[in-house]
Amino acid sequence: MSSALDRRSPDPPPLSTAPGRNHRHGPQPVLRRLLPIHGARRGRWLGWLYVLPALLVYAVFVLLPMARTVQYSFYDWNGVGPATAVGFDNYERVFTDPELISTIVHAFQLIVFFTVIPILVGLVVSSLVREVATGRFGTVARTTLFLPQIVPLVAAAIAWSWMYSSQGLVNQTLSVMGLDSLTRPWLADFTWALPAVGLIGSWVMTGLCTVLFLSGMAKIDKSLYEAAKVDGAGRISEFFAVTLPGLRQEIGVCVTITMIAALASFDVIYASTQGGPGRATQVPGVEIYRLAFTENQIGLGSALAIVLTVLVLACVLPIQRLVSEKNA
Amino acid sequence: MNRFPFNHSGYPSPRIYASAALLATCFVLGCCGAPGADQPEADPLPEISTELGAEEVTLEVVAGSCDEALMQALADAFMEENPQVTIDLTLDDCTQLPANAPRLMASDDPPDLIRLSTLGTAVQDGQLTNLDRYAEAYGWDQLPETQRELLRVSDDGHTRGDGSLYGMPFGFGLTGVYFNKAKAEAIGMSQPPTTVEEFETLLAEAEAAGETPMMASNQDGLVAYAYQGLANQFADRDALAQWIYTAPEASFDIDGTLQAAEDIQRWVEAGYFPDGINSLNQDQALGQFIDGEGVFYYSGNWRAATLDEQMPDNAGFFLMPPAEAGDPQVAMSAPAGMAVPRRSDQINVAAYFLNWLQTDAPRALQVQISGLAPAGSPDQAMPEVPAGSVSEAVLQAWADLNEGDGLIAFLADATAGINTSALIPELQLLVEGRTSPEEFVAAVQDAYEQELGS
Repeated sequence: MSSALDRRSPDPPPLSTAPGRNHRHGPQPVLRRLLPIHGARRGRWLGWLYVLPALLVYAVFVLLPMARTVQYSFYDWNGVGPATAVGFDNYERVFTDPELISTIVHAFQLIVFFTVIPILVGLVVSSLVREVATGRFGTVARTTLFLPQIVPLVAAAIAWSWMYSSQGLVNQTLSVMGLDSLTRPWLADFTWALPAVGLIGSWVMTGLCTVLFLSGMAKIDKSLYEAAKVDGAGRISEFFAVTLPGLRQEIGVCVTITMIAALASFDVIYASTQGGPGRATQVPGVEIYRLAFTENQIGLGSALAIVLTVLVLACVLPIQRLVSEKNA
Repeated sequence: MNRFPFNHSGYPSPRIYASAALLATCFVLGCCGAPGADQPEADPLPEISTELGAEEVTLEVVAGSCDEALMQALADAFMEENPQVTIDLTLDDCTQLPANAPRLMASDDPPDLIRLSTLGTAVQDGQLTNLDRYAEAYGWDQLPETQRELLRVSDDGHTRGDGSLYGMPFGFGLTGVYFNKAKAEAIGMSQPPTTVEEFETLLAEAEAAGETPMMASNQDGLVAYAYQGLANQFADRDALAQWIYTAPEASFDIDGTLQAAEDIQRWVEAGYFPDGINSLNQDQALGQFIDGEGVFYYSGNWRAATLDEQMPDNAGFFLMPPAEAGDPQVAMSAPAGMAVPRRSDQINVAAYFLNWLQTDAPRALQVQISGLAPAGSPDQAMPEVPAGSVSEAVLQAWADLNEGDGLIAFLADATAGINTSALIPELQLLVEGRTSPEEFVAAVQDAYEQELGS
């Protein structure tokens, strides 16, 4: 994994966790580390002792299952009986079966709804809230905006599937506005089901992004805004010159969290459409579950899970680097 | 400051090596041996006994929560008759149970009886008790063969419908057409149609009268009931059954399956099904039919008790008529099967319970609580239901079917995954006209072959 990522960086420090930092210090740290010293060495083992309990739990509940998933992905196994080793067959199918590929495409389409929309809306709303809402009203506004985030996704999906139904709130609203021609059972419509499900994600994620941006804005030095005003900046240019650069890290966090939520989505889809109509909203998360537990194809399900994990990392790690480097 | 493990030098730190070592250890520990190689050995089978001893025993039963009322009533009745037996009933969500069952049976504390609809894989993995000896001892061989066909599995576990017996039912599901008596009369239906064509004429008349001709749901892919209702009439019963039983070389691409898909698509285009059928689930469809939406309603006998209660004297039932008048009727029916895990430590008691299910008192519960067709022989007295009720009509249809060999299993029970991998999505595509009937038949067969690995 790390070697694959390192290949992309121009001057890779092999196997480093903090790439791109302190290159020019050369070999000194190595010397420093080689020379000393009993104290440091004792600290090393003492450190392990401190983390041992957590490490054990982590190993048993995270590393071991991950290792097993990798192992299973090379077998044809129904979950109970004896397994047959099949090499890379499962991976081959993940990359050639159009139905499995389409689930990955849907996951990427969901990024628009889980990541792009919430961040854009979050930026606008938080800017407005920062200016308008102070004191008690500010607290109320923040709480209200954050509320969707504390509703379990399954509950949100169920509530929304009522609103999207033929006689639901969305269609009633459209009828009242005289737009009867647009009404439809949204989650059963082959064209609109994925955007409709995606908007549930937007609804949940916008609150999270807004609250993060608000707290980020609170950290921005007020004098910067004053300086911008003195220089004659309007609201818009103030936003681009001061607010946006000041929120780089918060945006990085939002992109990371929401992108993982989009690519690895399960609960919203499972509770609202189960992948239907047809396969219009099938995503890798639900497909993995279906393959492993309904079809009892543990190997193929595991292979898709590994591919999904690699995809998530490949999308999220560059963002981390982008955000931290530019900020440095 | 930079003491291990907080090393920011940017060079490989011991932490990395340690993590790598840890990961490697986990891989080695986690991956010793192929998965599934460490199956626990089952104890040898007990000596067969058709008597309950006086000794107190506990029978662990796992069933679906959708059968909760019936299972609880059956358990209570059994315990009252046999106080030395305690039934420990565990209920699992009905859609999740098939996925959980193999794991429950592989666990350290397997149940003694479990509700299973698709038996093949469990037999392949040696998880189920062969019930042939009990069938002989209890005389289950006297019951109509079509009732137990679905519970038979070949020795290699690959084909159902033939071979040893691995389960017994606590009743039978049966699908057919309910009708709203008042509305049916209004469109001029004096008696149930005798051919598919006649039925289609009635649907057209209902449409012309401004009614929703046929209530059904398809968010859950249950247009499958109507689809199979047609396929049962157009296709050769045995050829279709062979496909459901995953017989070698069986194909879905047989005469009749295509015609049924064409009819379904034509019915949708003609407006015989409700608008937005892909957004309706089975509970909504039932609710709408009770509310007077729909002249006909394709569903199963498990709805009979509810319809008698909610639409007293206004609901009727008939089976999908044959293609040609006078042809034998074929209807989809699935035994609500229970199997005995091989590693159960109460196999004799479990078999005793299965036999008890075929007797009069539990048969009455099966009919009255669930509306299921009762387990047991057609020669036994039918449990009492109110005269003129839809439950009576359903039971009459069941009795008629047992005269011939008119039962056939459910397409969705062919393999564990066929319903979610093909039937549900492909039927949703079919009713929207997004797939052709030819593509539908091919896609179902593709998914089937892929899952069976042929």
